[in-house]
This record gives sequence, structure tokens and C-alpha cells, in this order.
Amino acid sequence: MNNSEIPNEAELISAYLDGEVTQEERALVESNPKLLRQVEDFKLLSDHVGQINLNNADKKENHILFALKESKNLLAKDSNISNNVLPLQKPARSSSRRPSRALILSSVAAALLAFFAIPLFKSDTQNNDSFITAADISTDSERSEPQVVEEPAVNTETTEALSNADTTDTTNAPATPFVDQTEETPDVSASKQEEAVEPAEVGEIEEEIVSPTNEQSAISVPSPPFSTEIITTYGIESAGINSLLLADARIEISEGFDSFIVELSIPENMDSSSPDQILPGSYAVQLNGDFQISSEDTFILPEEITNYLVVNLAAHGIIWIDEDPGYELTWDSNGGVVEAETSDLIAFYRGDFEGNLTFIIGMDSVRAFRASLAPNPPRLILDIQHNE
Amino acid sequence: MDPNESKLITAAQNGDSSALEQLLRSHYDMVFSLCRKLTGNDADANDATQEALLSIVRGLPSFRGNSKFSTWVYRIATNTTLDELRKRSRRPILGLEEDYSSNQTGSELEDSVVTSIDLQAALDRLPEDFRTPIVLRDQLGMNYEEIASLLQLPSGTVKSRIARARSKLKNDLLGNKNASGLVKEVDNE
Repeated sequence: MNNSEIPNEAELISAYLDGEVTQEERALVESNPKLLRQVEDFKLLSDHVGQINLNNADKKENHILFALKESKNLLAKDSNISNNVLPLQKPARSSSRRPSRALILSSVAAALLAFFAIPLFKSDTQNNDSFITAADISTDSERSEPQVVEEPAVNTETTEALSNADTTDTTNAPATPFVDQTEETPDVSASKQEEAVEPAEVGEIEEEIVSPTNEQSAISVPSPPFSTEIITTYGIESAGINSLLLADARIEISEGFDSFIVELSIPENMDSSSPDQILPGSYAVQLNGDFQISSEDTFILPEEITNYLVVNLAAHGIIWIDEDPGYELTWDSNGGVVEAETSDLIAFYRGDFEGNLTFIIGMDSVRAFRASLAPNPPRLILDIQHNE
Repeated sequence: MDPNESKLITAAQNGDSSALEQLLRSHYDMVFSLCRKLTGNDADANDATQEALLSIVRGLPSFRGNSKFSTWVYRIATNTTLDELRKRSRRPILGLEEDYSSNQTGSELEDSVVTSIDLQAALDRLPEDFRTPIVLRDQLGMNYEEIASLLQLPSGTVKSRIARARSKLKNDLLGNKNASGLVKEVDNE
């Protein structure tokens, strides 16, 4: 074969250099002096590209020192967390609708501890709202019911909504009113199995809640617990999933409310027998809560933002793959801004700290909202009512 | 794994700042070099390097030793850099001239004086979609399958892009006006 008969000469010699040719292709190159000379050229280039670029010494020092500082911050944070965070309550496997007395008592104890120890779990209960201290959001048929406990009346300055897993896809569902949901926790297991296309009833809005005095009653959402101690077990363990990637965050406009959507993706190499059943992990939504994580002390919300929601979601931004050790991408680096043209909401991505994604959604007033989880793709959906 | 490095990793995972510093210093140059070549400019390279180091620090507790530490570190650096690049405005995928090397008849580069500066400049001029695979190949020694997996491209595309990138570099360095600076839209690869 002469040169003119070689279909893609450059590709052939490039692949030869990289050891990515068949025996036949190898023989072809090695029998052709002209091709071998070109291999030499590519080899020179390859060697050049493989050379190491050195950075300015000062910048190198700054980079390393900053990383070490970050490490210290993480250690301090870890220490703080380990002293204060309640462990995630193991999901119960009972199929009975009502939790046992022991579970209720232990949940009450846990809730009391959480109220006094962790600002993240602070909640107002002037209207005797019930909330879930532990919700199993697994998708198997044995999933337990959320445990309903009566909260003690505790006044706090901030209100937090910890949302339960609602498996209904609300993004394509018609807008529905934000309804009071203080009586009973929805049966997420049943709704999941039936694949009902009904909006989540996990939010609570009344006109008077916009009033500062009733601010805390704006949100009463059943909730799974949220803890940074569970970073390796978020997602649905029963489906073999313990890690999800942040794929996108966006604001979608609807009539009466805007939806802030955090979308997660499932790595292709992650084994799952039922990918459409995979939900994000635990999450928490807190009104005007603390959002200073890690070393981000310098982040200041724009002045026009008078209220905000802090959204924490256990959905790792990093995945390590055993068989071919690798690192998967997170969606964005700390500092990303999420906006939509016709929405007055603005969300700030504050990074992933040990698997917990943090967003801040800025608002010009206290708004009612509802939260839900949806599968395929796994999403956390936060519907925030328009400002009337 | 180097036993000394293994000890450093364990110590760093247990909060030993000095061990962490040693690890970061020993891999810094390679991380920066990778970031520099992938981004094509110093400013982005410095941003990406800082992000990569932070990701390494944050991810270190999760490192389980299933791969060489250096492999793990460079994977993080690569992904962080690609992440940074994706944050920038997306541009159409550009291709290179098809007849890039047909007029080359023998080894010419070895007769030319090719400096690292020339090469870096030529590399920086490559479209990102072509620069990335060749850097992953030549700097990290990744094979086509690994690159394809990382970039979520067909292996054949990786093979083609690396070949075309090399041809473009060669022509640029030889001052081939027919090839230099010419890009065109690629519809099918």
C-alpha cells in the first residue's frame, strides 16, 4: 500500500504513537519510512506537550496556603458538626401507618435536642404544626411511613421547612394552591407506588403569613431529617444508589409561583435496577437561616434581598468510582448564580460541603413555598409563591 | 503506593496539616501544568488550580487508596478544570482543516527549533475541544478509552481529535499558512 492508499494518515500515525493501533496498522506504519518519520514528528510534539509548566512561586505559595486554610476550616466544621448534629434516624421498616409509642417518644427526644442544639432544626410551632423527624424516602415497597410527632412550642427567630419526600413530579403538573397541611403527613409510599400525578401538598400559605408576626407559620412541611453526618448514605440505598450528582439548578416560571429546581443526575456506571425510582437525598429549607459555610465568610447577599431561603440538599458533588477510580464533576463551582428572566427570584449556589449542596434563594419579601422530590431525573422542587 | 506517601495520606486524612502540605507541594507542579495546558491561559489556570486544590482537600477524607494518589489528584484537577471551562460561555465545536498534513513529506520538526514557548502558544491556539484530549493523552498518559469516558465522547472522536490536534500543532510550528488559524464548523465527527 502506498501513501495515497492510506485513508487517514495522520490518525494512523497518531494512534500508532499512542499504541492504539491493530497489528495490521502497526505493520503498515513500520513498513513505511515516510510514516515512521511523521511518527517522529508527532513524538516530538507529544514530548513537548507532556512537559510540565511551572507556576510563579508566589502564586504557588498562595494556592497551597489557601488550600491549607480551607482544610483547617473543614476540620473546625467537622468538629463542630460532630458535637452538635444528631445522627440520621434509621428508616423504620414497619408497614403500619402509625409509629410505635417508643418511636414517637424517641422522635420527640430527638426533636427537642435538635431544637436546642442545632439552629438548622429550629422551628416555630405556634399553630401546633406536625412535622416529620424521620422520613424514609426509599422507593421500595417496604418503605415506612413518616413519623409524626407533636412539636413543643418553641419560639425562634427563623423558620425552617424540612420537606418530606414527595415523589410526584410537579413540574409538569398544573399549579395548585398551596394548602394547609397540618393534619397529617402524606403517605409518600402510596403516592409513589401509584405514580399519582398530583401536586405536592407540602406547603402552607395563608394571606396572613406574610405578616412578620406570623412569619413562622408560613411553612409547615413534613420533613426528613437533615444531617451532614449522612453524606455517604444519601440517595436510595435500597436501589443501590448512595450518591447523586448535581446536574443543574434553574428557576422555572409558573402561574402563581416560580419553581426553583435542583436537578441531580445518576452516573452512567452506577448500577440501578430502577433508575426512574431514584430520588435525591434528605434536604432542608430554612427561611433566613445561616448560610455561611466553610470559609465563605465574605459572601454578602445583595441589599435588595430582604429575605431568603437556605436550601441544603444531601447530594454529593463528587463521586468516586471504585472500578475505574475517578472523580465526577459537580455542576458548578461555588458562586454560581441562578436566575430566570421573568422571575424576581435569584439563587446563589454556595457550593457542596461534604456532600451537602447549599443554595440561597433571595426574595424581596417572605413568600410561602412548598417543596417536593421528584424522580427521573431526581429533583428537589421548591415552588415559591409570587409576591402579590 | 509509595509507603511514605501512604503515611502522609493517612496523616492528612487525620487532620495533620503538615502532611497535607507535603502532599499538596509534591503534586502542585503537575496540577498547575495540567490546568495551564487545559485552560490555555494563565488566569484561568490559576483559578482552576486553586479550585482543584480545594477539591483535593475536601475530597481527601474520601480517598480510599483504590488508585494511585497521583492518579486521583490529577483526575480531580482535570475535572475541576473542565468544570471551570464549562462555566464559561459555550462555543460551537470547531474543527480543524482536513488536509492538515497531506503536504508533509517527512520529519520536519526535528530540523526546526521548536521551543516550549512556541509549543505552548500553538497549544493555546487550539480549540478547547481539541486541546483537552491531547493534553490528557500527552500530559497524563491516559489512553483513548479513558479520555473518551472522561469527556463523554466516542473513542473514535478522541482518536480523531488527538490526530488533528497534533497535525495542527505541527503545521503551526512549521508556519504552514494553509493550516494555521483555519477552523471550520464540524458537523459530523
